[in-house]
Amino acid sequence: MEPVLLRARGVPNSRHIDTYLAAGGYEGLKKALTMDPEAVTKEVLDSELRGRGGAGFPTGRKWTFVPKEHPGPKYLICNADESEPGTFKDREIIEYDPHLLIEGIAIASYAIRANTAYIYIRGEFVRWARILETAIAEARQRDILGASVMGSNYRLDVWVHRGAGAYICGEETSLIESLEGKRGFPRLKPPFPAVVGVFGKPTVVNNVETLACVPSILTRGAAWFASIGRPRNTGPKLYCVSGHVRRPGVYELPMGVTFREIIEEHCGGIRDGHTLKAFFPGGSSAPVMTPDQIDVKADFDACAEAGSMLGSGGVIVLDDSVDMVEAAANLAHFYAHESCGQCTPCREGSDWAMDILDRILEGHGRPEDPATLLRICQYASQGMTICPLGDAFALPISSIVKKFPYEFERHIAAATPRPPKKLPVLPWAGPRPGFDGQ
Amino acid sequence: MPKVVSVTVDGRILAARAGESVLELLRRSGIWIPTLCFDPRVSAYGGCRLCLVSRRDRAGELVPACETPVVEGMVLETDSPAVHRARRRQLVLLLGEHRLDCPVCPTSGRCTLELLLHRLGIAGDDVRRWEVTATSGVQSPLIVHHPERCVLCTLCIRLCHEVQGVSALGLERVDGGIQVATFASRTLDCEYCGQCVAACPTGALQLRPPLDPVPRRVGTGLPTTCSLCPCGCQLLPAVRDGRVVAVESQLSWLPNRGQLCAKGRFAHDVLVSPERLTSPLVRLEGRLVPTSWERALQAVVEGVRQAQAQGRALVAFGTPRLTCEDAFLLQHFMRGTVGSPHVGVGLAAGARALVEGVRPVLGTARSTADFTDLAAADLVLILRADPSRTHPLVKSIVLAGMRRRSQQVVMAHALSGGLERHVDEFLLVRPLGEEALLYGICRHLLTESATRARQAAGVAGFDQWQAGVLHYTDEVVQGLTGIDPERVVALARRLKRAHRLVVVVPAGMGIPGDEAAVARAAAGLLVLLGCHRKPGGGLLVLGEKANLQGCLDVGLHPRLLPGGGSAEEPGWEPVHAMARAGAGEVGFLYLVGHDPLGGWPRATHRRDGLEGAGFVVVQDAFLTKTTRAANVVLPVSILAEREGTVVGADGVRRPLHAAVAPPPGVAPDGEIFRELARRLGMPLPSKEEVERSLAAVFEGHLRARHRPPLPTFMPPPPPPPPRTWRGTLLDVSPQLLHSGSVTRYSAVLRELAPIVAVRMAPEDVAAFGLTPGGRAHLTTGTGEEMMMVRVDRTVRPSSAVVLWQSNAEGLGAFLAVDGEARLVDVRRSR
Ligand SMILES: Cc1cc2nc3c(=O)[nH]c(=O)nc-3n(C[C@H](O)[C@H](O)[C@H](O)COP(=O)(O)O)c2cc1C
Ligand code: SF4
Ligand code: SF4
Ligand code: SF4
Ligand code: FES
Repeated sequence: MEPVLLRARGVPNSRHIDTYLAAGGYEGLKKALTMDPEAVTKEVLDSELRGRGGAGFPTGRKWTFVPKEHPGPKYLICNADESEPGTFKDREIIEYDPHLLIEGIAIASYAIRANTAYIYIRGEFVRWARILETAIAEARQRDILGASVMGSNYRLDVWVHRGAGAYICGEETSLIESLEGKRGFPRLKPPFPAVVGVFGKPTVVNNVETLACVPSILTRGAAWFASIGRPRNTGPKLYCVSGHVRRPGVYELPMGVTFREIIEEHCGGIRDGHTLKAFFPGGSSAPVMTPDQIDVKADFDACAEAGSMLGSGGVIVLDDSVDMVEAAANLAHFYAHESCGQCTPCREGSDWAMDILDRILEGHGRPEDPATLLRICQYASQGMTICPLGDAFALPISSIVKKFPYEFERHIAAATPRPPKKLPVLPWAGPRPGFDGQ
Repeated sequence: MPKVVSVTVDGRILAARAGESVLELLRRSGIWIPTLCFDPRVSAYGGCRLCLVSRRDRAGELVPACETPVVEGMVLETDSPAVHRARRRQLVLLLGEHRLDCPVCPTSGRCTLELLLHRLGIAGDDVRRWEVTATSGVQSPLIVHHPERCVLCTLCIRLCHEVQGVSALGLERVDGGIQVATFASRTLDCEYCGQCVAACPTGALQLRPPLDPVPRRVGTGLPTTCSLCPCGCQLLPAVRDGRVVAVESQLSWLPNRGQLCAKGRFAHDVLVSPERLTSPLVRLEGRLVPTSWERALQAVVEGVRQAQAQGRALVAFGTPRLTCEDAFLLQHFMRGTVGSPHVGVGLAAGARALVEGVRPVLGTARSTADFTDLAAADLVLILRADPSRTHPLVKSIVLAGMRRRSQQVVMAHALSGGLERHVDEFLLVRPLGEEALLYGICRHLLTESATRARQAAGVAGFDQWQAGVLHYTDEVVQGLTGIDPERVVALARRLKRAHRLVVVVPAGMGIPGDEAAVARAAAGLLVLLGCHRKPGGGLLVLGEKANLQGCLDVGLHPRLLPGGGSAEEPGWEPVHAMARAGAGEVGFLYLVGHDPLGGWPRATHRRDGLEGAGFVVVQDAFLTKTTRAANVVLPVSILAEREGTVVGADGVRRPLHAAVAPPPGVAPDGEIFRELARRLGMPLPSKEEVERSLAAVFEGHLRARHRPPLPTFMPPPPPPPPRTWRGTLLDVSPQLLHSGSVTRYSAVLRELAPIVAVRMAPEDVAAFGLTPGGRAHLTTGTGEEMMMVRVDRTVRPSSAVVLWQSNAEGLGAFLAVDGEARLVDVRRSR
């Protein structure tokens, strides 16, 4: 397949607007502006494009949730927070083709009748924030953004907003809180952002890759897009492969290639002398998969059928050198650190799971630990939490416990009991001198 | 129109109000739902997950009741095994990192977490018992913080932010999670309201010993009304061994809904202050010596008789903290028993605003808006001072209105405070500029809106008023207020657009500007806008002391009779009376809770006023400066020792219920009046008779609300010449933690905020070369004083805030006569 999203990778001076225009850039936006916003949405709906941010929600459907007759402003937010472990695709698009993203943003904003769009970018991404600023300035100078988008009477301003470095701010509602200047705490849904979003106004949040798919849907048509992959799982997809493969990296492949193709063909297989032990199909929040599932198609529905999820498309490959308990502990540390702390099951659960896993690794595992871990994970999933981060920590960890029980047993069999520590007792503070008269 | 939604709960069909949350519905219907992070005063949080209920119509999905709005056709289960399991799980998770040192935790027995453990049980689930050690948390002179007992419900944070508007607390990432903390771990410097401690469902926040823990469950006894300001907050003192050891307030008690300020919550230690007077004193050979009540009362009676015999005047001033009953008795005593018209509330902030400002225009010496109107207003205009310093409850009411987005607040004054960063618009007017601002607005409304002018033209006095108002041109107003004409126009338009406008005029000793003039101008503006007496609209004058309104209502004023009628033969106003005393015309001066030498502006009296008076009686709980000139001193009961009723600034009459007996040797004010009257041969009306008279008075006020008198425009004064201010403004208006008189005897409040200190903005402290905690030399035209320097971020640059009343010599000189404002010279002193 010829690349669509990574077309510009390797092209000299690819970031410049002239390079982009020369390659037929902004044609999709031009075309969209001649159409009704509803017709644009219809086109995206027909393409069966599904969100690339993790949940895989049909993008066109999301756009239709914005109340059309809503009087005040509406907003589009491009989610460039990309913090999911094992995911590094969005920055690739921004690095080589920022105008592709801006064109996608402009088309999406037009479709939902938003006059302001924000790119919420991960705080550490200073380089890519600068690239976007430059590209936006170029587009504004050419009247592609601003009071009159490409000569039409549609106005659009795009702003880059840098986050302050929290994984949770990639979750759309806490992203919105953070954009409003508050602590990045997720909101309970419903109401969904499409109805009550940033500043209380209807807001669509889309991932960078999702938006980068939109221009080609307009120029080449929904049918072309839908012809890639299989029904409900269409279009080109960026797979970020990391871990114990020979050639890790970002690969643009048609949706629905198998993991075997990705790992063995494109990435050159597992590194020498080792065999595949497990892989996470879609970032660290997806339940782990085992070598017998390597022929599963890397698309939304197939991964879901296999008991996992495509998520962000970050394929993390682990070979036989990996201790799965250590892998689980590693994940637990990440989630315990990144849990925003708002709701009990996720805050306390992730911390508790981390402590148990650390204890097992320190050689003090107990026979009941796997069952306790499973129970903690159960407490934090199934909608018991405000946002899906609860699931994001519970599902992969419980999947490891379930699929690699013998690894836990090995640790626990060799364990020694931990010497009990004394529980400290607080001495009574007693009256404090200083208050006179008492 | 609230729509009704029907919801099935545990098989019962309940009628819910559209828009309310499931939790509100369930609580209203008497269904028990455990919560840790919910409080109706603040926004829902959804964190603790104890309120999960199951939705049968959605395959048993568990939803948090506090954050889920009711939906037509919802089917809920609150008592199923799945729900119980889910609740217990949250407790298991919360306990995993909890210290569980209940036996030594002072909150044990009142702790919500403990209560839920006992009620829900966690049997069957093993609790993670991790080594939880004490960690350090928020540092404060008021609060002890144990983060290891915290369940991160954030109630403390949300109350401090949303109800107090202080935002002293927040969450901070620490090793191993998040924790309640102050910004950059600074020592807590806040309003010390104690709300955070009162709301904490666990033992994580405690009052620092020796303060008792805040009680959390209603003890026995009825709530009483706070005596320290006219907000009318309801509180219940917790009593141990005959002493008030703590104060609680309940969410269901109006108007404060469980909220108290530092004064209400902590000033109760003045009851047991060692400085308290516990025996009457009489002057013998120039010295005050303890004596019996019998002798003291006899001395007073002789003083009265002597003045009468000499044909000299008899004058009494009663503090507006007197209960309605006692105030009624005092005026009856003076007017009836003694036969003198010279009785009143003395120099009391707010009295002139009501009697000389509101009454001539609106017909009664009462505010026309109450707290319900204030909450319902869509626009609130606050003048003269920041209620977060003078009337904390008013601040919280408007903060809540702004949070609901149903209210806009505009504030205009020259002083410092903390509310301005929350309001929609703040106009920094020059000192004394509020009156001109109001007339400037009126002029714009008159010239811009012919309809308004036409409608107002029917009101008595319109022509003269309009002619006067028209002198307040843009140029004049700018010269007096320093505000650009465009902003005045914009404000006028904003006021015109409002449907329900409340104008708030706080009064307090030391607030610059003539309170009566501002109240009059504000009343005129409201009449022009047709908002002076409608639901959600009107004028709200906030007096300084707890029962100013009640005292005026029952005729404790030289010009008013009980019920609001005018006295046929008006008595002397306080300043005038003091001048007459100085001239030797007063033979008997009765100062009930007043301290002219310590607490009144020096220019309003001379020491010779007191020396010139033939016989001076001081009735107070403490020795004041004025007692030096007294012939007899009578000790009285205060605060939680008192019975009776008081009327808040909102015009609502509320009861006082004594929680403790006064110390032996101390008598209630009313008893003293009665005893004196009896000895003078003309007993005062009985308790029942007083209550009958008061009932008639308050019924009359109620009727006046429904059939209000017609308004009259009072002509504005000719505009004064423009005023400029350059230098440091001396701000001697009230401070949140000290009302100036009683509270200065509270050791706790004194520790939290020293009395004799000058508070300045950090930039000024630096610019003047001062050191925080060091000393500064303050000089005005009339006095000088040395004071400790405190940095206060709420103080505006170029002003110096000093408490208006204090026992320190020299400070009285700083007080300007009502109407003045002063500049002060601040220097570093070594
Ligand atoms: C814990 C958490 C972290 C997330 N982080 C990201 C992220 O870094 N980038 C992203 O695009 N979406 C992220 N999401 C998904 C967003 O909430 C949201 O679904 C997505 O931005 C929608 O875009 P899409 O419809 O284009 O996929 C995250 C979700 C969760 C629950
Ligand atoms: S699930 Fe975790 S990250 Fe999400 S709101 Fe709750 S505590 Fe925060
Ligand atoms: S005492 Fe009051 S102002 Fe201070 S932190 Fe607690 S809630 Fe906030
Ligand atoms: S300190 Fe108390 S009120 Fe504050 S979050 Fe912790 S438990 Fe809640
Ligand atoms: S009360 Fe609903 S989650 Fe805490």
